[in-house]
Amino acid sequence: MSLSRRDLMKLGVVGGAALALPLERTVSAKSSAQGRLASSRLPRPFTMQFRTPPVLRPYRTDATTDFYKVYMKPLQAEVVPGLQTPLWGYNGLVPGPTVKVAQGRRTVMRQVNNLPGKHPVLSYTPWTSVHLHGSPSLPQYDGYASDITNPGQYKDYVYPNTQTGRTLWYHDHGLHHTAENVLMGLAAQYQLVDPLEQALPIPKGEFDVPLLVSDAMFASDGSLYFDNHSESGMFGDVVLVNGVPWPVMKVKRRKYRFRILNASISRSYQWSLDSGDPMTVIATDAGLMPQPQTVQRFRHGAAERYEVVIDFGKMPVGRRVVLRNTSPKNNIDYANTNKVMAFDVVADDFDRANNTVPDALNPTNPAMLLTAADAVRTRRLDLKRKHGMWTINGHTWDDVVKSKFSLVEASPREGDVEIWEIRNSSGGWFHPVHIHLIDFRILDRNGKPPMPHELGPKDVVYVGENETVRVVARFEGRGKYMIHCHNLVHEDHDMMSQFEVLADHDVSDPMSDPCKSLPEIDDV
Amino acid sequence: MSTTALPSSSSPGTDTAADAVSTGPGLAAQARAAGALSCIAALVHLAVAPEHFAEWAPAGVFLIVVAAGQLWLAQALWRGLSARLVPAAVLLTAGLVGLYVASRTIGLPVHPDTAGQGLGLGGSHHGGSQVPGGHGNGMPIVPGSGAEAAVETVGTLDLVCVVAELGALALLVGMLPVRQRRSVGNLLLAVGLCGWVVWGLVRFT
Ligand SMILES: [Cu+2]
Repeated sequence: MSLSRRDLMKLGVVGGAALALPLERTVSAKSSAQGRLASSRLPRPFTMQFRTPPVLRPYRTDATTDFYKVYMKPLQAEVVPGLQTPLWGYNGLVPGPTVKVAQGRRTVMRQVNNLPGKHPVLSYTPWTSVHLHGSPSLPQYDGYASDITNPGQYKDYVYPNTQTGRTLWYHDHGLHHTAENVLMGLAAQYQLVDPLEQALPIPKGEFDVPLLVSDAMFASDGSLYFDNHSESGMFGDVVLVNGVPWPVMKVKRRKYRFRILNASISRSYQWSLDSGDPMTVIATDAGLMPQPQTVQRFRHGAAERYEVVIDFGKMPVGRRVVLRNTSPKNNIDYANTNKVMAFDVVADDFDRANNTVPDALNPTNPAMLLTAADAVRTRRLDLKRKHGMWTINGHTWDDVVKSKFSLVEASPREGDVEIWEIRNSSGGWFHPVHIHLIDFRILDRNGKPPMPHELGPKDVVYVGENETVRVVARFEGRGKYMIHCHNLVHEDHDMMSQFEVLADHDVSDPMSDPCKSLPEIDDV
Repeated sequence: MSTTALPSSSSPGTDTAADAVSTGPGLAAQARAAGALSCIAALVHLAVAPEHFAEWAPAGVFLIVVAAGQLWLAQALWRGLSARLVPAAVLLTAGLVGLYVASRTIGLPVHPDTAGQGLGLGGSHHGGSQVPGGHGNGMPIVPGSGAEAAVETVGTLDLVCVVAELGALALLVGMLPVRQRRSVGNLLLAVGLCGWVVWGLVRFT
């Protein structure tokens, strides 16, 4: 051997360093990983009180417009008893405050990003873009993913509220981290009421109850546990209703209307009542159905809204009814994800008004009067995984950005009626597809009629495994709007593209009214 | 004179003749051992090339080129390498070890998704499309996911490969002329000490 002891020593030093440095990095990366909270630390289902989010009041009103201010800010919440969870909320609330507006009154909603400069666990800068889901907002107020507001900035969103009454929701839509921002708590209901709905004798007031259902997983230190399963989805072992794990609600012996919003990042549900009683679906995403549909169970994908009436009138006092979830396939289930919440029937006296469901609800909703024969053309959207990315027709939002926002999947002319055929040829994934701006009617699924609960106006459609769904819509409005999967992990990675409604004039660009830096100026 | 293949070189090596090429009865065996170790490293690189190719084609091509270079070196060492090539072989092997250390610690800024985003900032497989006026790239970094930049975690094959390369490096350094051996050794020592300082900083701060 020609190496001296000194040479060997020198080589040993460099060789040791070459082995030690990478190992150190690997070990420290593994030890910095979040530890999951043991399931024994989770609350038992139906031990926590049901609650509803507060209603947001406008800070100013004039003849035509209600003005709201919303501050996105961090908070600590005791979601799991005994643990503090850092969350982000609209006005520091999770879920955010409910907005209730009357049809025809305009809303201006100031959204101030007072979030920290970095996410406490995931380190990204939480820019935001607020989308009011269910509103035909102008492109610059639609929460376009690339029209972002950084921490320290704010934006005034303008909503026309001209559409039919419905349950909308406002949630974050910021590019690259929508899933994380929404999981942190940036989601809330927005209810638009119209005279037709007001005139119907359906449950109102305290008997008209928002149910914002989501799921989450927790780390041992109480913070949210983040695992997107190789960008396929985020699935929690805790089911939350209005931010409370498996709550229990006292109900009086009459009919209740529940506005169920699936605000989960990825999870889909199939609801049923353990009593075997049916539920009456009265409204879908875009408002009242033509006729109510009575079902034993129904499938509900992310971002869809279904309003159901449950009749506790014939149930004995003391009876507990559990809202269950028989999970659709390709969700990741845990011990108690088959339960959602419980209703305990109580003897309290109640108002007997508005305690029926009429046979006709909204028979003249324009979206529901459309037929395949009205369409001037048919377009196809192909949902597929390509090179490790989720795509629409092979396109991602990155492609849209790279095209300088010129790439579109469709460009109907204003007023055109079109059929869109949305195809998911995979057996391994389901995709709840959201088309912004429009209300549509589902024509068929794999050539068969839509499911009973889907027989209403929609803006999200569940495109299940190996399903091809045809929807028909009239394109009213102008400009560019997003189309995406509402599994927010798919959306972020990167199943999102856009379409453009063509018109000869007054077409505004989604990026034409950018955010402003704080401090606020009252110029609206 | 040094164009003669090493094993057949008969010039006697002494510590005082600083320019002399190391020779000795074990030199041929030493060269063959270095060749065998290079061959092992090459096989590891070949084995992992397909998965890297699937992820990002240039990375796969790079690994195949590296493996080809190491295989060529292995056969040259086995057959008796020209002494003039030993410094180049040392440089190549040391460079590969350095690249490995970088890829497993700070990440390599060559992947299309991380290029231009700085090191250690995440990026996954997006084009890293920046948003006009956006702060940072907006990409969440899941702790301990290994999605932190292009940094890979150390696996068994990595260890097999780097140990083989370090062994080959030691044997190759031993084949250098004494004066070169001393300066190369000192240079490696300096690099190694820097590495340990960094390790200490990371470990204890
Ligand atoms: Cu999807």
